[in-house]
Amino acid sequence: MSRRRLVSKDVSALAMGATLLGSGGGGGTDLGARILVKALGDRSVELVAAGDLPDDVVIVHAGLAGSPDVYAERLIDPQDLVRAIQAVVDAVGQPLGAIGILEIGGINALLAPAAAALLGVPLVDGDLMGRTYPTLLFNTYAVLGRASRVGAVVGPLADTALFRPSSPAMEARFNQHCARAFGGAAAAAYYPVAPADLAEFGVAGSVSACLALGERFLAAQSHSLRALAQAVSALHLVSGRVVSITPSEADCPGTLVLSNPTTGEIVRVDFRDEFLVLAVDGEVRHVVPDVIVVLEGASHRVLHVDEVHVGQTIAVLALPSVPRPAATETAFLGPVGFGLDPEVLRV
Amino acid sequence: MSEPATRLQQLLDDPLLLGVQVVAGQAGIERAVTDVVWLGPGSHQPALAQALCVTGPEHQQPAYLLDALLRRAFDGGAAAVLVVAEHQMLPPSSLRLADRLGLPLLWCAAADLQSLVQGLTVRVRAPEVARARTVIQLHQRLQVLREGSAMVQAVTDLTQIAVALVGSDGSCILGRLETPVDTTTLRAPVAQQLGGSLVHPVHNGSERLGWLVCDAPGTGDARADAQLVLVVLEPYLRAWLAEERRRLEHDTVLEQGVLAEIIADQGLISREAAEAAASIGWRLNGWHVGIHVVRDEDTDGRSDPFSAQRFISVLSEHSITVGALVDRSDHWAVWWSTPSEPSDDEARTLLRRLRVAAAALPARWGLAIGVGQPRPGPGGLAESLADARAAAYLASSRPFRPAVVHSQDLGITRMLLPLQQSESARVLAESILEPIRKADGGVLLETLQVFLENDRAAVVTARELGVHRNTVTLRIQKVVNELGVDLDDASQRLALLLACRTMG
Repeated sequence: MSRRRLVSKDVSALAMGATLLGSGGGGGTDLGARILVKALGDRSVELVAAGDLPDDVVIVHAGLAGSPDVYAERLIDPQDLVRAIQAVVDAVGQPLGAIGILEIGGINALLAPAAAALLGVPLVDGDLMGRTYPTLLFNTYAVLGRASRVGAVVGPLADTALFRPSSPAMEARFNQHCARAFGGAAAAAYYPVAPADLAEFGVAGSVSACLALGERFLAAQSHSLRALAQAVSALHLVSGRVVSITPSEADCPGTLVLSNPTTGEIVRVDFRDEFLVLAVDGEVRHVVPDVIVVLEGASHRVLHVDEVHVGQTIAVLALPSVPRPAATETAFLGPVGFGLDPEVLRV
Repeated sequence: MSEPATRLQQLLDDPLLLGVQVVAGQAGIERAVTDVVWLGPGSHQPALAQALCVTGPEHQQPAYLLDALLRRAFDGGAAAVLVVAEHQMLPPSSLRLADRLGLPLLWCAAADLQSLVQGLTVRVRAPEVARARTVIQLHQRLQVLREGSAMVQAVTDLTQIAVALVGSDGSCILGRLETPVDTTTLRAPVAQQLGGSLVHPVHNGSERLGWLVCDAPGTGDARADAQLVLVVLEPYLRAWLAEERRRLEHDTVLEQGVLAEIIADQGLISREAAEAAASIGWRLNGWHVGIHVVRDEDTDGRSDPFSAQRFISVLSEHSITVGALVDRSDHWAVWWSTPSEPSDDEARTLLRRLRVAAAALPARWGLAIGVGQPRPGPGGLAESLADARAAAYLASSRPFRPAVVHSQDLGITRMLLPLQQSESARVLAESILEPIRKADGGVLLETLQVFLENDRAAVVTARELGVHRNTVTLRIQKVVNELGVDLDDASQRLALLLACRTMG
């Protein structure tokens, strides 16, 4: 099922797929797409299934730590990712077999392939989340209580922090504090794992799925909303005018309220860093980990959480996330992980 | 019976809800409120129908909590949702959702939630409490009453709801109906609506005793009240009906026994029988006119069942007050009594009224009624009933129904009765008529009888049978051939006519 090689002409589809799986968060993919195109040049990156790699190599997962708002203004040097990966590889003392993606939604889906291109190693067709989540705590290892053996965060001046966390919570805290120390955003590498381990606990095939989703969306973006929703196999489609936005607060998710002038339906979308809940007339229709995507009404451009404004006409799609291994499915990946009551939000 | 349920608008005018604001869902402001439900942390899934759902600040934010509560309230048929919180910070999505669902969303800053919920509960449950009180009063009254009519009256007095008990045959047993209902069409023994009336079955296991009917049940709450009254009243009337039936069965057995003795002893009845007769209200010392009522065996009584009660009631409508009616399995023995000898005028009037009354009874009953001569005392009663029996016998041979014959009409034909009624005559008649008895579906026998009764007039016979004259002639020819008789011979004609009547 894997596409064997990733080349620069695939980048727009990968970026679009990652934007959709970002569910309104995960950072803008434009910057990541440019970095990936430049890193690839005329080269290509081999896509491999984790299980196809030899047993004696290590796979290192790469991505960004910190806030998307920071790297939207302060560019990222992909070499920092290479440094972070290298630091982890040196620490574990095993040869690097391939690079893995931390999360398939948002900018992280594009930076790990760029690092693979620069290092000249294959990219694993998979990731550790199956969509975007706000912190490292939601990756398939962390939800099982497994922290990264070694993690590295590299700042813009090549400052390198290397740590061996005792728990996923401590790992997330290291990550957060280092990023803050490095100016709010930094390159990071985590989870040096054996191929067999990743084959068991990683989200397999998510790069291919992301590419296919992006391709289908791009091909149908100029079509009607209904056709577009059908092209991406959306689970739900509603539209309306944004009549109110309540921003997210510490103990309270933000809320978009849409009114559909034709049907009279009142649509509520709850969000934090990503869109989390879709409810129509007070009935919950979709909840994280389903992917909720907001499109600008006329252009069908995918909107981030902070791009929606009152008065805008938007469409809301619900997509399935990339299926995770059954052993890693926990309530934490649903509303519980966001402090929301799963009983009330039962679909 | 009770006040109508409180409307939300009325409740908002109550001092209890002073300071409560309707923040959304104004369209539902006229909803009925019959309950108050507290939806706090740990509250389970109470019934929400027509309830004012009260909740605290914990449901005010985030939006999804209040939205979910609104949806749950709406789906459960709640009347409104009241959020009690210090500050009004209801989410915009909830306000719009309440408007969309037409479910009033209220807010107030009241501090004492417990008092508020208690006060509201008392206020909105007031109509229900009044209804419960009436039901208790109904039970208290009904349980000491022994008569069905008193029970129906008690219900009307207490609730101003008029009810009636209607039999399965559609006759009104108790109470009055402004609008008649045809309960004979009802099949399923369940409470239901029939026209504009409410009907409730009165049944004892699988046996249906009748229907309770409220023919002016009103609408809404009044209708619910009427339904409730029928439910409360039903077991009491059921018990009364069962008791009545038991008493009636006991009386019937007693009556049959006493009458059998009167008839057998020709008036010389035992002291015990005389006492029993007195105990069932028979005044045997006056003058009696016996009435013997028989009905055709093949008549269809299913849709219009025979009822001695109805028979008596129709006679009563025609100013005939019978002394008694005894069901003697193959006939009813009825008599009319006077303290002294009735004049000829009285006897004639009785006969005329009886004929009119019989005509008012369903033709499908196929009644043949014989009326005896007035006779005095218990012995006279036996004689008059014997006269009536003979007259009924003649009446049953008449081709029309209902047929009423007075024993005076028997005249000389009385002479023929013993011949017609004897078993040996019947056997003989059967053997004589055997060749034509079943031929052509019995039409030959019928044609022969009508032909002979009409003194061999083919035209009259044809008119009575609704056939052509030539058909009659042909049939009679066939009969003559089959039986080998000579109809010009008067003796043979008389014998054949007697044989036909015996067979009839």
